[in-house]
Amino acid sequence: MTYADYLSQSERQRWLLETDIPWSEVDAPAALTQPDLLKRLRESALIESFFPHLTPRVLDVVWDDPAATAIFSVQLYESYKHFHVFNLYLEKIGASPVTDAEIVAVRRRHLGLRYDSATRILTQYFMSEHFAAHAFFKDSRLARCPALRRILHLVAQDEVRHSQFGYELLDARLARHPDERPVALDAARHYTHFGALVVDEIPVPEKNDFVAIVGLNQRLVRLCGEGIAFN
Amino acid sequence: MDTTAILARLHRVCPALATRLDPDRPLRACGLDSLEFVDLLCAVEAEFSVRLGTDELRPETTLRDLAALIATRRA
Repeated sequence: MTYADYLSQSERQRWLLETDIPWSEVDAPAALTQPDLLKRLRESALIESFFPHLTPRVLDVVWDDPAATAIFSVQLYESYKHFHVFNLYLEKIGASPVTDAEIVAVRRRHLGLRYDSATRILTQYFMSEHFAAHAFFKDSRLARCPALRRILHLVAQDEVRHSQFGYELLDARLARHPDERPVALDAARHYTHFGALVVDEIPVPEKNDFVAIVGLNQRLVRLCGEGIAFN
Repeated sequence: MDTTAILARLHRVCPALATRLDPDRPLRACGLDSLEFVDLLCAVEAEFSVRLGTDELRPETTLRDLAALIATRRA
């Protein structure tokens, strides 16, 4: 994937906070009947707020791939936008938004965060975004508040694109360094969601989402010639 | 809007996916994985304002079936 392709795709899908979210359709009473979903939304906001801390560490290991560095810069912009829209929504319905103090506390725990393998990080990245896309899409179907349905739909669309670009960058990297396929497989088999750095439990509407796991495995087979399952 | 027009619009809004899809072959048999299903259903919602869940598509659902489903929901 080139930066030009990614930029063009991102621009086509770009949404505006002011005009693409039906803020007049915020239905706080309906939203507040779904405390579990709101809890997931809040935890997702906190995870998205972590990217300004995480992405520079990722850039440290993908420095030799100019397209990757540029694409991750767009991803960083979009992730923080996700945090902002989630938090704004929480504020509007009278739920408790994430505070700066919480964001700083999470970052403080990870001041020493460093990565040493681009292949590992790209594997973890595309897998995390894959599950995020499924989770936000599912929650967009569950949400009773029309404004939240729209927000989650837009974010799910972004996450699909993020996962896809992570996958394509990894595919290109493995084509350049075929000896790193076992590294990608090992990272997949020991996968943890990036969000685990931020919250105790990853916010998902369905634990062990079989469809998402099978889809992910298909992608790993395409990348590495084998999937997560051990023989 | 008839299914032919919907198929044409689907091709326009998801060019990368649509070129891989035969209208009369099941979507899964065309090689769509779960992320691509999410992508397709997000595009359907954006283009047609029809909200479908992945569980509404059966293993044998074709692109033409999806277009018919969209037409029904829009009616």
